[in-house]
Amino acid sequence: MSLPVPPILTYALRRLVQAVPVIILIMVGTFLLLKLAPGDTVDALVGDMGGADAAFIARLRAEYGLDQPVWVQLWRYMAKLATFDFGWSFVYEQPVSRVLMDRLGTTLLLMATSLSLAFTIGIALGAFAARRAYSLTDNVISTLGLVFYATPSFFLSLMMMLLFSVKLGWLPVGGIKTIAGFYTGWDHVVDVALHLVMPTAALSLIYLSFYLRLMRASVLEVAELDYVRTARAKGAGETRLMFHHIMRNALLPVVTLLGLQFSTLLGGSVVVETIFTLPGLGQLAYQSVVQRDMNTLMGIIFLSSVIVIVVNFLTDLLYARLDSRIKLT
Amino acid sequence: MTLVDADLRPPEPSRPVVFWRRYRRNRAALLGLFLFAIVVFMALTAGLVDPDDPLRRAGVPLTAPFVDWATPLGTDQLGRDILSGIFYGARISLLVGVVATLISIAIGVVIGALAGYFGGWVDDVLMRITEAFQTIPNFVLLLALVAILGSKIEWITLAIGIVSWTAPARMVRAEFMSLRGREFVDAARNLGVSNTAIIFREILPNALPPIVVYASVIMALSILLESALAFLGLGDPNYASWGNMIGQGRAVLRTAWYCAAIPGVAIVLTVLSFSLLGEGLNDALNPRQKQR
Amino acid sequence: MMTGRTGLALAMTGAAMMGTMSLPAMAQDVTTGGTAIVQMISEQRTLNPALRASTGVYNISGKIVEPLIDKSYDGYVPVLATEWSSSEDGLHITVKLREGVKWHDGEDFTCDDVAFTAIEMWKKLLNYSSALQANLESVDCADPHTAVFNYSKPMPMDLFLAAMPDLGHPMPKHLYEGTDILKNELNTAPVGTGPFKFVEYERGQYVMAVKNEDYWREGYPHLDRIVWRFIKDKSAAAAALEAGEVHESGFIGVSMADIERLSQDDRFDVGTEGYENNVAHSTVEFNHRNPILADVNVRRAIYHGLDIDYAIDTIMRGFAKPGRGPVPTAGGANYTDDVPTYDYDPELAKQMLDEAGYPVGDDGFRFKLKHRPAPWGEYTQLWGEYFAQAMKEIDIDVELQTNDAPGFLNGVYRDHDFDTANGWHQFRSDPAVSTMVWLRSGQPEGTPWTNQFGWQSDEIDQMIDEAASELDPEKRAEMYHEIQRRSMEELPVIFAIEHPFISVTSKKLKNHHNTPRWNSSSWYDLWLEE
Repeated sequence: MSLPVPPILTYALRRLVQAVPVIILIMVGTFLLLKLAPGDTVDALVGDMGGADAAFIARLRAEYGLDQPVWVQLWRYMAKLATFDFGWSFVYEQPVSRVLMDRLGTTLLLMATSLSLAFTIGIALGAFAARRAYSLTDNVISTLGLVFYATPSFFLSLMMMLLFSVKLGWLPVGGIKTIAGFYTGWDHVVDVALHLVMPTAALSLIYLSFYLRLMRASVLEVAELDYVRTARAKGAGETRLMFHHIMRNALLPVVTLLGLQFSTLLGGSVVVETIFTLPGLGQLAYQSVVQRDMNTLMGIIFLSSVIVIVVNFLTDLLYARLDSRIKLT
Repeated sequence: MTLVDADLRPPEPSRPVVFWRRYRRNRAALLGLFLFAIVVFMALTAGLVDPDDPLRRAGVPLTAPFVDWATPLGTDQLGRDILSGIFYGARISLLVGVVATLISIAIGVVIGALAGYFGGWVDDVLMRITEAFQTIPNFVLLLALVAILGSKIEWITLAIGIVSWTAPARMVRAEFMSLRGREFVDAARNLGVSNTAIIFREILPNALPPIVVYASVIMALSILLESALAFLGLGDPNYASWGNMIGQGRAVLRTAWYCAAIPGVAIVLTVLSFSLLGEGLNDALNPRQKQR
Repeated sequence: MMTGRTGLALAMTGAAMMGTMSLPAMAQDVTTGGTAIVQMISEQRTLNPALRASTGVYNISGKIVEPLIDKSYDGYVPVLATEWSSSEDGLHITVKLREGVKWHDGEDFTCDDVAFTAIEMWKKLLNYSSALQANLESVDCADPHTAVFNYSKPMPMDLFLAAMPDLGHPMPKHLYEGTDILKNELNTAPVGTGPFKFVEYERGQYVMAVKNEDYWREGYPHLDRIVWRFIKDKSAAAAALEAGEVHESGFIGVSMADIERLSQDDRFDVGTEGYENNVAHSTVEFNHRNPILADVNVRRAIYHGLDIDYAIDTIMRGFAKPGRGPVPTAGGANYTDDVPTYDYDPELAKQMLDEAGYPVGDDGFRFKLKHRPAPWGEYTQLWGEYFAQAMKEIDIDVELQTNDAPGFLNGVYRDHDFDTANGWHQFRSDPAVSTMVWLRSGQPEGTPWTNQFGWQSDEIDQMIDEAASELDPEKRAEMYHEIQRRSMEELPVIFAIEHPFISVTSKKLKNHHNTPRWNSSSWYDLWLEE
């Protein structure tokens, strides 16, 4: 090879090639799986309408191509998808790409804030607890983390809503912005932020305990490694020890989890988005299953697969930065 | 620091005793064990507490707790006894938790063992499948499965098992990859032991401890998943389950908080007990991490 | 010859109709301006009322697109039509149209719009309407403001009138002609003649409409803006009402417990007013293919085993009454309570089941039923669970099978994979276009909310057909009374509970729920107190 290709590019390319069969597998699998479900989107439509006559139903089904054999439908869908055409949503009467784009922002915002909150607070508390391992503080922090994890998200959400919206009136009940508020600039940002406080709290409190526990265990383990002992023996202060020697290595397993958690989080946001009526992908996914809106659901799965793969790629990079021993291959 | 090098240790007491010694050092884990024992006790004695159908009309609908001693924890919207719902619900939660965990561990062990033991294209194919499952948001997959199978408790349990096998699969694979090159495996292979026997008799027992610890995580997660389904109205109405009780109780949350709050607390404590149990098991089975 | 009435609508002050309202609002008291925010339970796929007949669509589109005729507490009132009449033989219906009305894009509203919509949408595409208008041959425009509907079989005037408020929305011909009607973008961004103009539809969030400054009713509407917010979760909806983020929640958009609780709260008007045209039956449906249930005595025993009053109190919180067959009290003259009834009497039920040849077996049960509760929300689910409870009291084992909407509709209406089912069924002004489809046999398989129960009676089929084309209202009513009696004897379906929908409305809203189909109406006189 004549041109020197940066290793990161070859690595990215390799990952991309690996990802393609996974995505095809996911798309074909999901499509066939959903075809096993009783009823189709026409049933859901007619159910929502409160009924219709037989001719109407047959006409809709023919128009949506649902009268074709499954293999024909699958082929048509995959052929379109190959050109990045997600098709038409019969439920929203819009192209799926538009339906998805309308919702993507909200979900990414929610996920990014929840995950970064859970991550930073989790590792901070985890490291803190580890330094005082088996003390009362440690026990309280660890157990509290577990209690939040053990609390079903809908329960936590309903309780928060009851307290902060209805009783105290501090926070809006739901939605992403004040409708007909027509805020612009900073007012808009503040408005959206206020709407996101409770959903973000509900989601991040659950995931917090993962990072907390992992970080705590990881710090405990790293703290006993030779090089840390050496540093301690050389008289490095506890704070310096923590930030310069322990944190970096203790973060490795936690970062891996960050990547893995992303798809779980999208699932977890289904319930939270439903309660707080956030127009995001989680709620959309649930509605699409119930309404058999195949194209939209497939679009969501495709999109979230791409996001997960990108996030995993990024965490790999981060991993490599944290641990110089790892070479990207 | 009381870390003792394993080789220099004096003759050890029997394994369960060691296990228990290590386990009980963690006070939180003891609390977990205590809570877990209560849940099991409730599941076992449900028939004694209320020999009748827990879904029957037992009193005036929406009786508050401690008002009528026939229904000490009150009744829900249809006059069902909350106390017996909690006891019978313990059965369902344990059933869902244990069976779903067994299913996911079974799938995970088979896939992880094959991938880790054989490597090569087997590993490639199985890992692509695992990645595919891991990439799909698990709750969305669960919703789809329940939409397909319907809301019977058996199907819900199976569906939960199906969406949670990827993590154990990866763990087993990692363990197998590190263990397959060890001397005892080579020795077995040289003796002509079949692959199946090597996988299940030789390697698997050595790979189990981290999986046993992780089982408690899946168990906790299964109960949370079941309750989330019930919250969305997708639970099995033929059984008293905590999830169903919360799902229906939230409609009366503002006027009869106890309908949702009592089963809510039951779920929190049960899931907490599994998590604490997991910590204790971790300390007992992976003593490397356990120092004072 | 039946003659229409003119100019009544303007004289109506809706507030006077309302029992719960304090005083009729004086014109000078009216505050103009403000934004009314309304909760919607479900996302609407289309906002074109000439393509989708559903109260969810009307709840939004009713403010933007107007029908020819609306219904008030005093009867039918003209909107885009000014008068109407029928020929003696019932084959021609003449409708005079309002002059000087403009579509929101500035074009004139004329008979061409009515003729186009009637043939291209009402007859061909609109659910329920295509059956109603099956015999519509053509619509002639005698002049730009006179439309003549020509039928090949007699169309009873009272059926036509009953249908028009819901199934009689003209759409602008100049924006639809030559396009693919079902894919036309205006279906989700409607152009109408109503008091409010469509602004935007944010999927998953809200729909917004603003005041139509050129509305044909002088001085209306009062509001500047209406916003419909999609809030599916009932607890969240109740919280939004209490936090003042939403002014009205209709069609039982919050849980029954919260409805009861908010009815004690003096910030809200809670009631069933405004839904007289939208009552529903909570039903228990039998699969008559099951030989046990084909026995009328078993069905009667099951009815005796159901404590309807208890269900009304606990599930519907008293906002309901026992059903009396396929026509609810809202059916007006077509309703009668002179029918056989079945009181709650579990001992009698057990005795009847014994006599029918189903004694209690070794397992403690007589037989087992697979029951499918409809997934239409909280109270249909509770109804299903109550049904199971009640049946176990008379020693019938019930296994509940829940599915989502497509699964339920398929299981009951296509695969017939059930023994009993429960749900609710909405009455639409006239029995001919609503509950009769539950009794009339010969419906194509897979059509939801039709008789897929395997019940067939030539006698009833004939009575239904005759009643549908009977021109004399009195004879027609008598025929429906007879159908009601027969169906209470035979019990093809148990119309167990009749319940109107319930709304929770902030007291800041004035002139609300002042017509029998208020959520579907145009709200031109609605205003918001500061």
